[in-house]
Amino acid sequence: MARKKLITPSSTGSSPGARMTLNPGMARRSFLKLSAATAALTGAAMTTRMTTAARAETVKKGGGPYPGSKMVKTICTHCSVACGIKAEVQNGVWVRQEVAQDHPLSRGSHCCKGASAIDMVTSEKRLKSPMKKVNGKWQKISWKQALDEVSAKLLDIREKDGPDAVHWNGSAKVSNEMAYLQRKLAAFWGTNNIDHQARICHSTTVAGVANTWGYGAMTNSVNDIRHSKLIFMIGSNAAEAHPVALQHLLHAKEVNNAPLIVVDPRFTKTAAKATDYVRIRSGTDTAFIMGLIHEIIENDWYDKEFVRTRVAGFPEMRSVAREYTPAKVEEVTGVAAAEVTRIAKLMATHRPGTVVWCMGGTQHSIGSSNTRAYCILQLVLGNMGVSGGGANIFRGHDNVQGATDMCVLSHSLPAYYGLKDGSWKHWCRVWDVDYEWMKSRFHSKEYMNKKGFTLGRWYEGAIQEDKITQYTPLKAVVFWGCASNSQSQYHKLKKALDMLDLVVIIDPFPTMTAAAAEKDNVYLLPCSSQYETSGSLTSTSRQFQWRYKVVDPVHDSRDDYWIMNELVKRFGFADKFYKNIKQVPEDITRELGRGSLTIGYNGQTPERIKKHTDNWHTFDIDTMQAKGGPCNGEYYGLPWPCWTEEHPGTPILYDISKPVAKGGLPFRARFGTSKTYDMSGRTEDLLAAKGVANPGSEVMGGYPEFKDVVPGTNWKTDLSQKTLKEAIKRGMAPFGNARARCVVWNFPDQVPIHREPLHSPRPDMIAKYPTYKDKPDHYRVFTRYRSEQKADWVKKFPLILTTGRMVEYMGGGAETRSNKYLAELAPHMYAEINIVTANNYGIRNGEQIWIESPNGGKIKVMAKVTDRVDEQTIFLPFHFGGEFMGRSLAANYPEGTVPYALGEAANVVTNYGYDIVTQMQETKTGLCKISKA
Amino acid sequence: MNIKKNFRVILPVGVLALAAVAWAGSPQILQPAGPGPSTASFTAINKVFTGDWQQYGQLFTSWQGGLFNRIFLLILTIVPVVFLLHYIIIGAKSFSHAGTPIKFFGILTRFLHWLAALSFSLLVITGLMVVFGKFIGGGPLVMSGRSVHLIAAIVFCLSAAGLFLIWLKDMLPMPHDILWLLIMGGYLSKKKKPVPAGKFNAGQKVWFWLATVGGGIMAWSGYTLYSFAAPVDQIRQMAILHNLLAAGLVAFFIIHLYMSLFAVKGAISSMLTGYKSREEVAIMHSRYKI
Amino acid sequence: MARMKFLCDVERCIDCNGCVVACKEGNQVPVGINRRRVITIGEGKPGEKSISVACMHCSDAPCIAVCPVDAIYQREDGIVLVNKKTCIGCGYCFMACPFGAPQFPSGKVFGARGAMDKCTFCAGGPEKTFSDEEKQLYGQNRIAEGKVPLCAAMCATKALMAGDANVIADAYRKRVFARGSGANAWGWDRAYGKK
Repeated sequence: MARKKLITPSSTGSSPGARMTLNPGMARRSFLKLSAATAALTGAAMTTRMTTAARAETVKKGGGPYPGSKMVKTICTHCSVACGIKAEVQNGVWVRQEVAQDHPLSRGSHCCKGASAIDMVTSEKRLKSPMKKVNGKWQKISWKQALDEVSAKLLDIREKDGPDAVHWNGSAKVSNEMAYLQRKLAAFWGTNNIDHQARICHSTTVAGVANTWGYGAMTNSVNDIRHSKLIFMIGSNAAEAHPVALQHLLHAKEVNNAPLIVVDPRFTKTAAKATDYVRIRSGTDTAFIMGLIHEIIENDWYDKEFVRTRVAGFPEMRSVAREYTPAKVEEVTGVAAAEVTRIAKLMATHRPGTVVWCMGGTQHSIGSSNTRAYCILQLVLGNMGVSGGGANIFRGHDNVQGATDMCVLSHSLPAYYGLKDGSWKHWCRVWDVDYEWMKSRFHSKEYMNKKGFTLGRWYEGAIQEDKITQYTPLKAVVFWGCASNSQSQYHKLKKALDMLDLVVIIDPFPTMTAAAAEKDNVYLLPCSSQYETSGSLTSTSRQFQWRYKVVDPVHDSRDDYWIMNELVKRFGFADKFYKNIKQVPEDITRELGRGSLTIGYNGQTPERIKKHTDNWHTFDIDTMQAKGGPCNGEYYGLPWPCWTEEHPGTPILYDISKPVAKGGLPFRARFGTSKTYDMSGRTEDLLAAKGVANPGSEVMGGYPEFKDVVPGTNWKTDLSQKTLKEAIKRGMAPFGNARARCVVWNFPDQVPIHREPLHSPRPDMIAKYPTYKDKPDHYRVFTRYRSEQKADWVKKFPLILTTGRMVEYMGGGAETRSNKYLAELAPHMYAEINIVTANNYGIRNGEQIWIESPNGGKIKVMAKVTDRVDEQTIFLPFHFGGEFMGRSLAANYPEGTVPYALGEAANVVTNYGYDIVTQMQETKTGLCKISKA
Repeated sequence: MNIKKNFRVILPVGVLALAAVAWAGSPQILQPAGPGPSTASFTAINKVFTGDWQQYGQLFTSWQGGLFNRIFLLILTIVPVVFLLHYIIIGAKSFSHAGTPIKFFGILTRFLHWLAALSFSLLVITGLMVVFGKFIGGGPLVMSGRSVHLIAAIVFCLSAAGLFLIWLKDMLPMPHDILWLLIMGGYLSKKKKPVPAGKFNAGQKVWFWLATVGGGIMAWSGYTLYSFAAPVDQIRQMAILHNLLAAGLVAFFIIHLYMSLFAVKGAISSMLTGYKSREEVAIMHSRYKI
Repeated sequence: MARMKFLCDVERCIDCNGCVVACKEGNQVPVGINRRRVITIGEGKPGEKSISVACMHCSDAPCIAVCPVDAIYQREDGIVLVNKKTCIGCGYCFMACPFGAPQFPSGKVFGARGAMDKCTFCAGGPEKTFSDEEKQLYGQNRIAEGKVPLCAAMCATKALMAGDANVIADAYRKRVFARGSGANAWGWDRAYGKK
């Protein structure tokens, strides 16, 4: 009995002698006998052992708490790590989440969002039926009425003002099939005004990285980081944004003793796990990285052989890097000169190392330079194409990789073909429609090839505060699975909502958009979540996974495919649109695969993808390769490019140690075969050096991309896929074998250089490193650079404003703030403020403060006094919505859908600033002023 | 009852009662959901007495684990036995009812006393129900006992506050109280010699102060236990205090029951009618000025 | 008989609250009751650490010692459970617990506390296994299904472990050994003040 075994007050904290120890057989000395060779016990093995020991009663077959239930496999809808979910369904009801132990990446793990995935379906706050705003009040309407009215209005606008009067905001959260249909819809509608979350997330990554070596995606994989000897994270707070990825990062830290270097203006939760933390001034990534590159080159630590054989433009880049001495870097970034050298040495002495970056690096006016700098760093270290190395970009939403690949974007057709005539012709062939007919859908030929508005600035199409280059202003916007409070200068976006003739929101939740649009021009169409439909998605590791449908759409929601079908029917081109699509979604998978040859999406048939999903447990977590079983030899998810239906997928991009048929790949020959550099006059062969090619390659050295295997086509346009098969047969990559380039001659800054953010706190730095000239027609909007970068902003707005994530919420927060458990964990919007700053302003922890931006926005939030930020920085999480400039918008939500947690949207005060190449918003570095409320 | 005469008692008690009702009615107080503005001052006051000490977890656990139960058991057995022995050996004192009885307790006093007596009895019973809960199966029975404990506490506090005001002057310690204590009020002998005591003897005074001040401390500590509106170490200290003081109060309650019901034959009538016999007053309250 | 224990590896815990929400969602714990919590100390400074805490199912449980109605009991496998029907909500277990594991719903008569709720190690309660009553009162009984508690199973980084004490101690020992004295903490690159 417990009473007899009481600890008497006289004993100290040490255990009483008579008590049994946890492990009576293990004396202290035996500890040392434990073999060091065994790696830490994996979760799978551990759990099995624990389960066996713990079993109290054997559960009879068909017994248990939910007799007759079945397990449905799906993937979490929150982030791009794409953890497996096992849904237990009984009588069509999702009764509980089981542990997806055999998923090769997550192994049962979740963060708080994934652990409550079921709430997406059960939340009371789901939009239950179509709604229309009438006289300022929400009115429930039928689907037929909603679809009829919405399509009639859209067609009317198209008729009167042209197809470009509508802007489509598509989604990173829909399946590949749906994302593809969204892009196809815009094309058939006759506009390039379609964009989605990738624009404001990793657009600069895709542009910068693709322009360096061919593809703009994560080069290795999350699991591959287990083999890294060093992990360098810059602008990534993975502990909050990609929690389950940390499982593998920390494994490398433990087992490989890998230094974990975290570079961030904030001491984040990720920094808490770092072995080396570097606090950097927000917006100075390129300077810091070029400083590292400077040290690596000048100290002769760079991989000479790799550079000689697989890199182009090295001397030109070196001459630019020479400027970034440690002393100069210290002046710009605030990082001590000695520290720059030390970090460079660490990276040089711990190879292969991997570089991870996220929004902290991408969301800048020089984002497309930052991302290239990260690539060049890995190139000079020789960390590309090897296990444990790579540019491991952690994408955001669950299917942002897929939606990006499907180019739900205003500057390209699916699979990065672009908007040139050749691309349109290719896709018209895939769609089996007449090119001339397609041309006729557009206002004019010019607009068929012209990049459209972006997610970052579409609202200028309505408010026109900056001049637009489009024949008509925008009259309607459709948000299809996209939040609005994630776009900067939100107060301007809100103005646009109230100016438009029509706002359509298609989402499982109303989103802040529904509350912010206060006129009678809004329709809400409830679409179902990803658990109520099926399809494929592509994770950040380029892996394809299949989502099986868990339950039927709840309430009166409908899945996206149905809504698309209904709209397309009413638009009048259903017969053309669905020409080759009968079975949904599998026929869509086949069609998009057929057409997306550039990225090798053709090998991942729905059957193969499902087989991988059905056989999670056969994949090895270290190599991600199936060991026996139905998928034997294939890499999990058939990471693209997957050139044929026999190809196992490409787990590590640019790895020339493996034959192409087994997943190897050289750098893509995308930029021509030779180049004469403007900056030096030197001419260089852009193909890989002699002797450098994948094993079994017919040509042992560089070669251009394949063309004319079928006359008049190249590997990208040959729909018979003979070209791809021919290349593989000859042991060669269809896209050629070239060098990665350090000089991107089609970008304004050919080699990455530092430029101050538009709203910079350092007038002296502005003078030395000014921004670009104004850009008149940047995705149809006049975009200010030099005219916006004033040296005296800092006088009135002395603090640096930066934004970021919280683990509890995702994106605009509409879904996660409607989850009662997540909202309980983080009920309040807040601003992080350093204690010294707080004391200087007389602000105490928990008090309300006003934050104002130079562009006119202001918000009222709670102050959180913390050491995470330095004295000059204010941090805001951007997930909140439902309040606007001190006013609550709770009353604007349809009844019963107000999220549990409301707050100001950080983007009301994020500043004007856009990347020069992609128009990415500069939300990670701006200026603000604060005052007590 | 002469309202005018008793006004200085009725008014404060009345105000207290209204305040208590308003306080109870306000949802904030009766929803103790952790530290909030209403509890911050409470915590601060506690801290004056309890300091900033940690380390009470082990002490509380071992005492609640075994000590308290034993103390209560001892008290519940030994105290009645001791006084049973007294009854057998020495027996009750008896006084004649000759002459005009002397008014001792007014109507208000008696009313408040019986209200206090009833609520105090309920407090003791329901408190012991918690202490020995496992012998009666716990569950809804004991849980409702806690609710009764709460209501009884409020009623007791109000009535005891009234009695406190009424009797304060007469309960103040006097030099003769020491003499009374030395002879244990004459209860150790069967003789009827005059005993040094005013309106109230030293024993009654001890009981008075224990029941009122002690009762107040019980209420205060009890509120902490009910609301949990304090840091956990303070709650533990209050729990220890509440239990130990309760043991003392239960012991003295039993003594008071004996003294007022059995030690003097018919003594209860003074609290029912308000009058004591002349002889009783002359002997037991020899210093009382009529 | 195997004894069940929890262990949270502080070097791996990233304060993602996966364990907290896995428990709440899996057992339908009402908002306001937290069977499991993650505590972070030293926030924003080097040395910041997080740890996930719930009922530790102590071998020598103080809560069992102090309960006046014997509502708390310990199974042979070490799991400590409360019988909500016996519990009177007095709160002594909360006072005795060094971890603050006992939680109380409010909203009874006069705002008094209801019966104590706490981590059950996903082992349900005294009611019939898998019955609706057990689900309503206590949540899942995964141990009876031969499964691991949800919090540990769903931990993002495998920081939180739950199960047979011997196996866990073993696993943790292996990790500590692999880490050595911390990556680069006392290695040669730190010696002689080189770092």
